[in-house]
Amino acid sequence: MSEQPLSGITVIDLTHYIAGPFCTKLLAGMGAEVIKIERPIEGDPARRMGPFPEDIPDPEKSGAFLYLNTGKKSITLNLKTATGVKVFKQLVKEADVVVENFEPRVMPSLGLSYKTLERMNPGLVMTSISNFGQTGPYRDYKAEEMVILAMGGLMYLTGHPEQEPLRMGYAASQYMAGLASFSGTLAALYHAEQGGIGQQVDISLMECIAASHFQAVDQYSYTGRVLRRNRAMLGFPCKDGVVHLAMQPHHWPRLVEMLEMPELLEDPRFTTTQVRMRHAEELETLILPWMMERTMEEIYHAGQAVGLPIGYTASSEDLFKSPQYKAREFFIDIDHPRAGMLTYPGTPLRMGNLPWQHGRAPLLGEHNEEIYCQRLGYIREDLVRLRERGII
Amino acid sequence: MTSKLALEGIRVLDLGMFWAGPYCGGLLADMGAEVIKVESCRRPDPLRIQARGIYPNGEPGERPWNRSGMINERNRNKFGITLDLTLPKGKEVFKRLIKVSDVVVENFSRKVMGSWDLNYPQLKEVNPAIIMISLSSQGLTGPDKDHVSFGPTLEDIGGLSYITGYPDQISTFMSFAYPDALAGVLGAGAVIAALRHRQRTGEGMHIDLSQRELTTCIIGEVMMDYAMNGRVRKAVGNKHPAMAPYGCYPCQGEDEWITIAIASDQDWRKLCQVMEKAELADDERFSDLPSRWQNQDELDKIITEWTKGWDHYELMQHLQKVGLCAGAVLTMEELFSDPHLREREFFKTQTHPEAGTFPYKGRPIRLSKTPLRTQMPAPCLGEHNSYVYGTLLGMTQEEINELEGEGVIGTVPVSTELQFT
Repeated sequence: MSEQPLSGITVIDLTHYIAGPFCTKLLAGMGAEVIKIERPIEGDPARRMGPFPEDIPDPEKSGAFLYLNTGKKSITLNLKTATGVKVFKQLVKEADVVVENFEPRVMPSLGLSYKTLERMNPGLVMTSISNFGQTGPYRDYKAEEMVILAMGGLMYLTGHPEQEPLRMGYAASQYMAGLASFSGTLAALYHAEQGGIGQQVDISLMECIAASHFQAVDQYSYTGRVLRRNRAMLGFPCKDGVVHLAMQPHHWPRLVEMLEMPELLEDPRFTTTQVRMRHAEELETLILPWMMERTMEEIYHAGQAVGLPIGYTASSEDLFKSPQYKAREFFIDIDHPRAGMLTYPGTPLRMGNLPWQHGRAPLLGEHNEEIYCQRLGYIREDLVRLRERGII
Repeated sequence: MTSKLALEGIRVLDLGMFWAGPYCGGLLADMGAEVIKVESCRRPDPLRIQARGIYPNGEPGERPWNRSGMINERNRNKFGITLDLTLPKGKEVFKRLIKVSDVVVENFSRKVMGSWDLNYPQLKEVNPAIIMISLSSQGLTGPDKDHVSFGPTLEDIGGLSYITGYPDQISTFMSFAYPDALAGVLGAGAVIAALRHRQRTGEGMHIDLSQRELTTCIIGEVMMDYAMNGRVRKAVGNKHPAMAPYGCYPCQGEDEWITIAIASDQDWRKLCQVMEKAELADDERFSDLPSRWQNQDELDKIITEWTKGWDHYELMQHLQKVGLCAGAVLTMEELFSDPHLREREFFKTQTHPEAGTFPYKGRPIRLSKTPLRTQMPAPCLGEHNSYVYGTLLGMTQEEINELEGEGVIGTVPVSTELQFT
C-alpha cells in the first residue's frame, strides 16, 4: 500500500451503531489501521439494524453494518471482565487513537477513563462521542436521533407551519457527529504528532446540531426574532417527483427562458423580486402546468442548462442511476464472504490521487487470531480459554 | 513543548463564500491556524450585502457589509483582505500569498478558479506543496460538474429531501443548507489529513469534496436497501421502523412540542405508570411491540391527550428522571437559554467593532487540552490589508497605496447596494 494520509496510525475502535463507526470508517478510508472491538457473540448492535437481503436478518448481512464498517478489523472482547480490560490496555499502549461512543459514565466505570489511558500512553488521542457531551446537566439523559434534532433546535424549523415539527432524514445528526469526530480526532492527532501530547476529544450530538444552523441562530442573536417552520418556497410537483428552485434575482430571466414564457418578463406582477414574492402563489399556478408535463430530471437539466440553481428530489434509485455518479465512479462494488458482492456508496471526498481504502466490513471476531496471537503473543489455546470464559 | 492550539503555524487562504468554505476555514481558524479570508471589493462574500440579511436589531447601518450576522458568525478568528483576482496585479499578489501559505480553501462553482488562471496545477507551480480543497456541489469531474446549487437544492439531489417529509405529502423544502455544514466539518478534517501527508512525504494535494456525494454518504442505510433489495425508502414522517410509541407530541403552549421514543416493553410500562394509566400497559392493543406498532395512531392520540397538559421542558425532565427517552423541541430562544448549553458555555458573547456585542454559537468539536478559541471577531471588509500585505508580504506603504489606487484592494464594496440572494 502506497503512503496514505493516515498510514502508520492505529485506531482502537470501541464504537457501535452509526456516529462512531462513520468516523472510524473515514479514518480507515484514509489508511489508518482500525481495530474494531465488538462484544462477544452479539457484536455491534448495528448488525441487527438491517436492511437485510430479502429482509432475512443475519448479523453478517446488515446493510448498515456493512456500509459503516468498511476497511476495519474486528476482534471480540468483553470489557466487563478484568482480563478484557487488561487486554484492552495492552492494545491502547501501542495505539495512537481510541474512539468510543458509550454513555459518558461507562469508560470511567470500567477503569478506562481518559486520565487512566493518558498515563499509559501520553500521546494518545481519545475521542468520546455522546448524545450530550461528557459534562453538563443532560450528560446522562437518554436520546436518539429525533430527540437530538429536537434538542438541537433543528426540528422546530423542519416541516409545515401548520403541522407538527418533522425529523430530517433518518440519522442526519449521527452522521454529522461522525464527521465532527473525524475532524476533531485529526486535529488532536496532528497536534499530538507535533509535540507528543495527546488529549480527549468531546463530541456532543446535541452541540453538533446546535452548531449546524444556517441562519436561525444568527437571526435570534442579532434581532431576537425566532424563526419557525416556513411554507415550502418555489417547490413544484412535476410528472414524477418534485423540483425546487433556489433563486436569486438574476436567475429570473433564466427561469423565464427555461419555461419559454417570455410574456412573464412584461407582467407587472413579476418584474422585481419584491413583487414576485407578493404574487408567489399566482406565479406558481402559472408555472405548474409546464412542470407537470415534464419529469423532474428533464426539468433539472433544462434549468441547469440555463444556469438555474435547481434541484430535483432524488430517491435512492435515482441516485443509483445518476449519470453523474456513474461518471464519478461514486458507487463501489465490494465483495463480502457472507453478504456477497454489493454496490455501496463510496467516498465523500477524494484526497488528490491517493486511492481511498475500500476494504470490506469484517466478520465478527474475524481478526482475533491476527491481533491476539500475532500481535499480543497469545497462543490458540489461550483463545479457546478466553472464548469459553466469555472474554472474547 | 505544548502549543496552545492544535494547528498553530499553519496558514490558510480562505476564498470561501456563503457557508461551506467559510465554515471549513472557520474551524481551521478556531483550531489555531492563521486563516486569511480573501474577498474582493468587486465581489465580497455575498452574505455581507444581503437585502434580507441579518443586521444588528435589523439595522443595516452605514456599512452593512461589516455588520452581517451570518458573516460575523462563521468568519470569526480570521484575518480579512480584499484582492481582485480578475486583475493581473491581483493574481500576482495572490501567488505571492500562495508562496507563504499552506492551504487554500474554496467553494466556488467549478469554473471559477480556472477562469482566473489560479487552478491547482497553476498554484502548484508557485508552491509545489500547496494543499487545495475544493468544496463543490457535484465534484470537479463528471457531466454535471458545472451545475449550480445552493444548500436546499443539494439536499434534493443528494437524496436527503426525498426521505424527509410527512407521509403522502409533497416533499418539504428544508432550507438549512445541511450539506454545507456537513462539508465544512469534513473539509477541516480532510485538510488536516493532507497536512499530515505533506509532513511525511513533502507532497501537497488537491482535495475534491463533492457536497452531493457527501449528502448521499449520510443516508447510507437507505442506499443499501436499494442495493440489496431494490427497495426505495420514502419519507415516513416521524415514525420509526422499530419503535412505538415514537413521535412528536403537542404540549401546553402554542407550537410547543416534545419528542418521545419508547424503545422497549419495559420503557412502555414505565411510561404507562408515569402517565398514571397503568392499565394501558396490559391493554391488548399495546402490550407488545408489534401491537403497539400496528396501533400507533391510536396510541399517539392517547399520549397526546396527556402531553397537552404539560410544559415541554418540565415533561422532558419528568420523563428523563425515570430513564425514559424524551426531548423538548427547542425554539431558538430556548436553545440560547438552555441550561445544558449554558453550563457547557456553548454560546459565547463577542464584540465586533462595527456590529456590536452579541452571543455566537459554538463548534461541534471540543478538544480538552487545546480548546477551540474564539478570540478575534470576524474581519471587516479588507480590514487586515495592511497586516497581510505590509507585514506578511513585506510591501511598502507606497505599494499598498498603489494597489488601492488601482482598485486591486480596498475596504468598501464597489456596489454598496444590498442584494437579494
